[in-house]
Amino acid sequence: MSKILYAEGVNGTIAILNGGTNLENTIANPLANLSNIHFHSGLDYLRLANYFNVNISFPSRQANTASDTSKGKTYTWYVPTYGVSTYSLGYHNLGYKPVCLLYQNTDGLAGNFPIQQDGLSLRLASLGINNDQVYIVENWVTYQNSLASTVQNFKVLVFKDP
Amino acid sequence: MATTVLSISPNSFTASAGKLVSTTRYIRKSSNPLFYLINGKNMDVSGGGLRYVSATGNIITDNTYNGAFSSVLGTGVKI
Repeated sequence: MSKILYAEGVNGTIAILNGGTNLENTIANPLANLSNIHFHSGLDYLRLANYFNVNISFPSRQANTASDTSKGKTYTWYVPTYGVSTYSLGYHNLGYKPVCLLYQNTDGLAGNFPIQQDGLSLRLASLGINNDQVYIVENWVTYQNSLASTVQNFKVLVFKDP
Repeated sequence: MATTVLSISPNSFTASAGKLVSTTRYIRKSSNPLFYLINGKNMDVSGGGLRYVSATGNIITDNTYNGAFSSVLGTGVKI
């Protein structure tokens, strides 16, 4: 199928379209004609600003117990223990909070995701973004089982605002 | 570049005041992706337990989960 390169000097509109497309309608309504568009200057494309590939070392998280002594006998029971920590992945220095995509191997990661589990103990991670850097937020909880230390690799794509 | 509509040189292609530049990398869908984006529900709770399914189908389940949730393959993308 042929391709059409359309350029309009008056308003700066540029488009690369499939041949045979209704040119006027596709130029004016790109979102309604995406299947015929390879590029349209009216669409907001995510452009890569930075890329980080970082190994994060998470420390061990111990399970804890509480105890009480009554009539000479000691009773011990497990208590839930939890905490939050942050780990920097890198500085993007864009001055605003950019769109970012986080992934491990070929898994894109969204929201909170588990990186370690042992019985009822769980370590979750999520991506944090501020005006200067991207970082990992660790939320962990232990109950009965401790969580061993672990090294996890994260890759982050940081995109410029359109 | 601020007002350049279209520029073609031996080293680069620029369109629409720099909105499209051949030396810049853009994210796009791909059948041979760098990674997969989650495009739907990927966690489930059942029996007091939790199951997480990654975009590529890897499953993490805690001891008390008793459901049968399975997610679908995510959308492949690359830059």
